[in-house]
Amino acid sequence: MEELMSNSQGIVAVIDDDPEMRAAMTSLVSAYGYCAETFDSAETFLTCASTCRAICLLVDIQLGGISGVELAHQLAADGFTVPIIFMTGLDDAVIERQAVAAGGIAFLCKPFPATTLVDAIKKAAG
Amino acid sequence: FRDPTVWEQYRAHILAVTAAILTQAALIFWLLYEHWRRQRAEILARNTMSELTHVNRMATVSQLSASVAHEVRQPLAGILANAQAALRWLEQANVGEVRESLNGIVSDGFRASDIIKNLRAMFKSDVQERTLVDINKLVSSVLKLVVIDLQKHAIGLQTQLDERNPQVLGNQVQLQQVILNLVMNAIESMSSMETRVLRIQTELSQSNKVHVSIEDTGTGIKPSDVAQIFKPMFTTKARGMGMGLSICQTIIENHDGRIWVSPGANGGSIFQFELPTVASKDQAA
Repeated sequence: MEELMSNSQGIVAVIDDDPEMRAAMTSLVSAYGYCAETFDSAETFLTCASTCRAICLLVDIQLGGISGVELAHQLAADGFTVPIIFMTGLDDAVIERQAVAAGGIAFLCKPFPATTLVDAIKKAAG
Repeated sequence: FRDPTVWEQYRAHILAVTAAILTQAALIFWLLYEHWRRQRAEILARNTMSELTHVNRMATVSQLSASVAHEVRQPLAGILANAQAALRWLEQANVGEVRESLNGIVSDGFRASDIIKNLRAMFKSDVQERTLVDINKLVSSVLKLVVIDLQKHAIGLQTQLDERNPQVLGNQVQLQQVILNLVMNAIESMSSMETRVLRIQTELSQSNKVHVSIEDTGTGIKPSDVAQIFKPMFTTKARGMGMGLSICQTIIENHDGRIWVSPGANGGSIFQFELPTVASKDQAA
């Protein structure tokens, strides 16, 4: 595990309630040299947010419990500074505004090109 | 001085009897005619109701085209992500990862195909087939369709579904349409309110009926409108034909149930319907 860590360009935390999507995102970011840590809900992530070493979060807006946007608000209130990339299958201007207002650095509409995601992750890494 | 003929003797009687027979014949013909007219009217009404139900279903589904697109986008996103990952893995000659990606693509492809199958079911008109329908699953499927609207309008959702998974014998698409209509009405009624909570409950009642209630914190219904609200063409909204609730009532009554509305505890309304569950139908037979 330590070996993998030193070879990768950083950890991306993936939060999505769809297991197929988690698997696909894991494969995608790994193929581009990052490491993925997956969470099936906002609540699951919140329990270990304090020990999170990710360089960015990849968050689906439509989650089972509280939404991705809600999660962003809660993390901001807790002083969490890791950048958040939102992804969603909802093609809606209102929801995009909500996500931007919640402080996301990028808003990806599924399906999105891999390069868009990678550019956002690089931007997050600074 | 000859004997009077039968006609001359009984003229009044013969005329009276003939008149009576003719009158009765006329009555019989008239009744038969009215019966024929009524049969035609019933057939026409049934066809009209069936068409309107279909139109209502189409209108509701098109209203939810965004939700529908979202559902299909999920597996599509999975397919694209896996395919692009596979291309990268191929450059690194990582065959194991490529195989995983391809498996993911196959699985997502079938998922998309299932979604489309379910959509096709909703678009079929005049579906008469009756099967065992799980009410809780039906409620969940409707909630999936409205997830975007709930999110957009920041509506809180509370559900309480009876763990005993009540089942009814009925037409799944029609019952889904009822729940969808009621939920869409609830969402619309709350659009201008400060507090927006949608509460859905299913419960197996003591008389082996399943009771479904859909409660909103909307504007509520004026007492003077309550008696009218299920009538066709009655609407308090600026748009729409006012057919939704009367169609709900027709469907529920065709399933031997009943539907009614009562005021909610926090303003708003509770639309409720009751249907016999499979067990009670067996007991009746």
